[in-house]
Amino acid sequence: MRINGYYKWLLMLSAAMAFAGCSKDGGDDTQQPGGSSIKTSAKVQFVSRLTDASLFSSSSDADEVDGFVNTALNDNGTVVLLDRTDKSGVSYVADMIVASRKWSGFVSLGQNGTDDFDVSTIVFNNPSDRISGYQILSGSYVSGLSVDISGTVTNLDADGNVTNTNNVTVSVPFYSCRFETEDQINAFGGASGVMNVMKSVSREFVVIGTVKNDLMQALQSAVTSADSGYTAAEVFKGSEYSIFMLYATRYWGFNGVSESEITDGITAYAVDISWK
Amino acid sequence: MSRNHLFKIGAVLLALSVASGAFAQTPEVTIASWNVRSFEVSNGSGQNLTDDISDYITLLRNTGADIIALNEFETATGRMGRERMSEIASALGMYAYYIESYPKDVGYYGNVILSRYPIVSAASHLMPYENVNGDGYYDHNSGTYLEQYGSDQRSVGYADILVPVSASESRVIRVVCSHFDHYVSPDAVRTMQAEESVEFASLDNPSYPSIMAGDLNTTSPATVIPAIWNCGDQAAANGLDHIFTFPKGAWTVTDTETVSSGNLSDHNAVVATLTLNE
Repeated sequence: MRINGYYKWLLMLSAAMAFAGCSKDGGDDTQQPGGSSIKTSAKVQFVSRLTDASLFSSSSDADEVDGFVNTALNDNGTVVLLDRTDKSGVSYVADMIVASRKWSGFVSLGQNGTDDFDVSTIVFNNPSDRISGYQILSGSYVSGLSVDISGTVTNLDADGNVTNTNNVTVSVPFYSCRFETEDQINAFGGASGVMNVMKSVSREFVVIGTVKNDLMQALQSAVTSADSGYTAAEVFKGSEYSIFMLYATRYWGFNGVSESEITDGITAYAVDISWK
Repeated sequence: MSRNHLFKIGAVLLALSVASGAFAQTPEVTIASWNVRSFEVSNGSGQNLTDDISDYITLLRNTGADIIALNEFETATGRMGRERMSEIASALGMYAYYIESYPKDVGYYGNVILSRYPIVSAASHLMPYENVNGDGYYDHNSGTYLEQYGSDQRSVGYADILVPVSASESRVIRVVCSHFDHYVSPDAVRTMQAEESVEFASLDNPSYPSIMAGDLNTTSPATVIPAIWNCGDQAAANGLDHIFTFPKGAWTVTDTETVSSGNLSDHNAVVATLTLNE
């Protein structure tokens, strides 16, 4: 028991030392004494058309996304955001997680009528005891939950060669929303805006969502005006909407994005985030 | 000014008001509460787990409910074979939230909230509980542990639901679901679980107009669960199953119904249609 306890403490200390040196912004490698460095990486899958259309135009779209979601979540440690599942996709999404025993949370993006809302769905691996939502304007919310995401900590020598890679689990307070009007951005930023309300609960949130292409700069300005310690990075620019990642630079960074087409018009964007 | 002239002005103002959405309606929802007994169908001498839950789905669909609260909901376990909440949600076209009470082999046991309208936030909370056998045991309690904490681990949860009141406006209502302890006499555990529910979901000072539904395991709510009784209105009840509204006087009950569950469960479904008074 004493030996087990000793090794447990040694492992915890090693982990603490590995993370303590991480201080650079933007997800770059973190330099260590002697020229070595550490790179952290975890991916959030963001599935979208990046247009004003619903995600599923047919049951075959849903079948293709079903295959992707359940493959992506099979490592039992990540999360998938399905953008614009909407009312028409409620049954499709529920059906695709019946056999795989996955769970879902929802983001209301806007209201389209007396019985119709634009909605995104977050799919994850275990039941959640808290899914938080903050109203931006009537019908539009920023919602999310803390999810455990599989990641890696990679050690590199002074020449950039990988010397060690450890698989880790990172807990990310993950949120999503959509900005399609300047009024929504104004309600989110500003001294009494939604972002500052979220900060009062926890400063470590990460928002990965969509913004109309012509509003990207307005969003970036609103975020830094509300708090210069936060940034809204442009992840990917689509035909009508861009994916953004909003985070406190003290805690997180944006490593990059890779795309894979699921079916015609539907793409999975693997948003690679780093932590500090 | 002639009466005819005044009438025309009034008609124009009315049309403008309607066009601007000034006559947005208050939310009206139909809610159903049902203890599904883990989909164990009575067979005359006992119960058999059924793999085909289409009769349960048909009963729920026929209630016409916008929102559904379900108790004794076992899902994704080895014997269930799949995640039953999403199976029902898919069939009914509803959003869903699972309120976990405890893990059960590869799945879970707990409560469920389903909604026709989007769930914008949700949370669940475990009732205070200790088992005579220690950590990791969630049922078959005994002795003083049974008297103090009840038979098995229970939970309470809520979903904040965006209910449309016009084509462009909606209001959030909070729906709370729990299943109180069934075993212990006297009623101290149920009394404690009611207090815990009120505090967790802020039912005594609600952020949103609220509804609580579930098998509360009492036919004497005024004396057994006063924490709920004192801050809410009882909208409907059938035996042990209740629907309460909060705060007092906020809702009008426009219809109630008890739906026989036949051999599907030892509880009937309770249904209420509620209109918010503002």
